[in-house]
Amino acid sequence: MRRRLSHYMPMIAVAPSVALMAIFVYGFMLWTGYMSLSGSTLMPKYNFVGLTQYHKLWTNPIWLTAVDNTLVFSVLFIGLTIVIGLALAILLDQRIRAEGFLRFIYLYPMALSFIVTGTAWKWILNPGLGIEHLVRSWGWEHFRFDWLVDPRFALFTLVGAGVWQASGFVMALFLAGLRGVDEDAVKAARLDGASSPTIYRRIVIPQLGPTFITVTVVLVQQALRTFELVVALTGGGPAHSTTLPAVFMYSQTFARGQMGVGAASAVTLFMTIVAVVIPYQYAINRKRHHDH
Amino acid sequence: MRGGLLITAAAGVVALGAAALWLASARHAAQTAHKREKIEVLHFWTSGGEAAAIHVIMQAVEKQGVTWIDEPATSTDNLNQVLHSRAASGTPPGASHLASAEVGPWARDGYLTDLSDVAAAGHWDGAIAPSIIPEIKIDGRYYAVPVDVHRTNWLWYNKKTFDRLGLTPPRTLEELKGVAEKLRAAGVIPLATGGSPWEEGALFESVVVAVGGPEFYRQAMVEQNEAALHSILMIKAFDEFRNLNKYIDPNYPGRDWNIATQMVVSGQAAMQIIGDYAKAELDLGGAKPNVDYGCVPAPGNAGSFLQTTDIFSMFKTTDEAETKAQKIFAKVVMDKGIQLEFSQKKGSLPARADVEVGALDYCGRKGFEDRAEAEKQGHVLPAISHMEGTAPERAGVFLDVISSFFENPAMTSQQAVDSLVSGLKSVEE
Repeated sequence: MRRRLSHYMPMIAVAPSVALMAIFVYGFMLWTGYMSLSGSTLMPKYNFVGLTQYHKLWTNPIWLTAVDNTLVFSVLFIGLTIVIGLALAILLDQRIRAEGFLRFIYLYPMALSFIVTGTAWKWILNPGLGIEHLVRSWGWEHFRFDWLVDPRFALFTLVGAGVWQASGFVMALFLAGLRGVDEDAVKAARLDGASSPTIYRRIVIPQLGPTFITVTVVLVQQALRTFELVVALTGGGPAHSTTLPAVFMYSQTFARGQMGVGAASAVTLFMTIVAVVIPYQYAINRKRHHDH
Repeated sequence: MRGGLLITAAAGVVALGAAALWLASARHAAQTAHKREKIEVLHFWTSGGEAAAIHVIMQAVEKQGVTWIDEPATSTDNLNQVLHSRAASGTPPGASHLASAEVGPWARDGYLTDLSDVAAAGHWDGAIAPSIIPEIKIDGRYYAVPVDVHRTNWLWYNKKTFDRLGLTPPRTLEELKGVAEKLRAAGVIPLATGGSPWEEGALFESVVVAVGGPEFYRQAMVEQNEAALHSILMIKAFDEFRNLNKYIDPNYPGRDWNIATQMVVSGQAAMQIIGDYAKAELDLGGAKPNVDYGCVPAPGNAGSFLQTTDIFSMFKTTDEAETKAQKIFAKVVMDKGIQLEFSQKKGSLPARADVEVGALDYCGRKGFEDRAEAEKQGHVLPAISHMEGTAPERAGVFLDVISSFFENPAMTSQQAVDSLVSGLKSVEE
């Protein structure tokens, strides 16, 4: 009896969470998929209208702007976060004093909500309140830093705030990766007279391949579902220059009474994330099979 | 092992179901234990004056022996999110604030309690301001109760600044230009505004009325007649709207409307065109109407009254006690004294046209008179920037285009009109 119980114990232990996931994650995904094929407007409608909502979506100028924006945002956000995160990790990896304290400082932004940091950034970047105002009050009367309110540059302020928040976390991942690098190879290279930059470029960074993939996957999905940052920092403006797909989805579904279009945009977003995650999962599974 | 996972999931679902059943029965037991009628009220009035206003209704309803379950949302979007998910799951709140344009769709889908008997007993037909009735009376039956209205085409100005510079509030767009130039020369921001699309929308609406008059506004903005949208008047409205770019400060994107109002209070800016909910914000700093600040119709808007209404709809329920509570709620909301006290607290105007409003402040009394006059002419119009008078997805098209145009100086008036027309077509399909 006891043996049987212990046999089933793990299953009993995970049953509630598996069931919750099945309903509240996969169930609702399927439901959203259905909604995107229905004629739902204010409330869900259980009919079938084919791909009408997708047609509406891809002819909506704001959605097209949001897609353009998310491309620019994602490339810059992911690229800069990786570069800065890696640089911070390499600098921290020099066996310096107070590493734990510094690591804590760099990680700290991650612990704050985007709503909080977004609001703080909004004040810092607002020309009438923040940096521009400050520098002007120091006497540089013609100093200009008005990216936040300029439709051509507002997206870059979003990138800046996002990078600031995420790079500490990416640094931690890279730091863990760096600690796993084979010490002997580094020592051998050093004996051969290789300089530090060469060692990093030729030996250490190539060994961080798996970390790069993990970091990229984490950042891609973070970039694609960016929402609170936009809400807190710019509200999607000026002139829709910072509207991202997740913001579009929310406003169509809950403010505009276009649930079908909102669902279609959610499914499109989801498919994009799947396109990134599936190859990653596949690669990991294959690697596992090789290892065993 | 795969079979094991399925069994695991199935077992989990059964366990969850059992837990839900147990909770439901416990709740039912709790409900039958309390005989007192109760009503859940969903709204988004959380700031000082607003919260005080809803408190007036709450107290009166509780005095009638109904327990009030207060459910404030954080914003209109948040309210819609809660309301839609609760209605979809079959447990809507007893009463909810609703955008007036949504009463029709909800009512026709069968979600709303018919209030016609309360309306007949209370003679609503003769009491409510005539412009509101078509919004809440669907196919001859009342499906909502109106609380108050806000006028959106007010011009608020800092009286001390105007007196100091010897200016009078502008009555036309031409006068506005003259006044704005003088203010700018004196180092004051002529026009304060926040960056939300609905605010820019309200500003634009006042310009449309100034350029084309109330009938044109009705055709272009409410009926969305294509000929009116393509007309030269609409182009002219966008041209005049563009001109206002000159009189606002460049840092407004992302600013909240109440911050803009504070700029007028502090004298940093001189004017703001916005609804009378701004009064609560003006009063916060102890500013007095007609002493520290003045209120006049927006330039070119005398005689026209653009409004947004606050209404509640009741959601159908099988629970008779709750239906009874809903009708008590509706009756209380329509009480003359409650309407007056509510409007006093919120800075709005009673939805009833037959209230003695001597107790309202200067701007409130003036607004009430203006509305009575505009009602006679049929010039009370819905402010679509506030999701009135047109479906939310159509109002959304206007707000998208208006804010894009205002915030992007490279966009021409013709481009704005074209994207309005094509945007409206795309939501029609």
